[in-house]
Amino acid sequence: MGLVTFIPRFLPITFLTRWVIPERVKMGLGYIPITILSAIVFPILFFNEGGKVEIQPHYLLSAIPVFIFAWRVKSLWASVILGMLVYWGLGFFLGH
Amino acid sequence: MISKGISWFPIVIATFFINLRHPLMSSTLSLYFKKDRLRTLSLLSAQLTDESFAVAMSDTTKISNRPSYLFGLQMTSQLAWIVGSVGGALFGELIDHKEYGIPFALPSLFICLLVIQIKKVRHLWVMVIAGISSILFKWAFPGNWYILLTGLLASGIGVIIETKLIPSPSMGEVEGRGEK
Repeated sequence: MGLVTFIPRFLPITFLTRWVIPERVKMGLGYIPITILSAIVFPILFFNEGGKVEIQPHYLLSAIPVFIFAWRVKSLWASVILGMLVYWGLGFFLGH
Repeated sequence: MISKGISWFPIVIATFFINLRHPLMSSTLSLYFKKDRLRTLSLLSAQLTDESFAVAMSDTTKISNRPSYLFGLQMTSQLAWIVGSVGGALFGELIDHKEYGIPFALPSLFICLLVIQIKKVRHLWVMVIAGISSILFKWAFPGNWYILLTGLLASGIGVIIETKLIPSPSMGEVEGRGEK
């Protein structure tokens, strides 16, 4: 079990720090943080708990202010607290 | 999963597929650590998580060739997780976990982690492309394949944007990415 979670993390960094990486590949790897995080965030907003495509208005409406706030303030703590407050506040309007 | 009586083999396979994004993250980190010892790299890779990776990548000048900095970051994250888990196990029943905006705490964290990666206009475009493709891939493929597929496709498109199109102006940041 430990090996299955360890090997995919360990082998790439070990080999790639020892090989010469083409510039194109380096450039592509530079986009990995943004693309992986997008792939984590966006489906939360557009899929229901059953895994079907369905806009999640409660999440979507909360996500927009957090996005703008995080853009301006760039604080993880403050963004999480704002997100929770907005989501909580929206609950009184949207139900849940 | 073990408590539900599922046999070990499907769990191991499922874990492997859930973690398909880790090779990409590990490859990305490799750009910043040149020929460090295997022991150092194995410590760093064992502690690789989405959150610590995202924080590390938001300012790569801090981690570049400084494995100890990344390790400190990972340990802080790990410690907070353990403290949080113990706290949750002890006191979790005192509050309703659907109240006080708790369901949106983790999404908020990931939104902020995403936003702090955006440093140029083209990053914003890549985010939009990745967002759309992640929804399409999740719709079309089972499990967690959509994360890996989105990472590969949208990063490829990012390279095309960067090399083929006119370089976009930087967004208030110092010109040049400082990491190459």
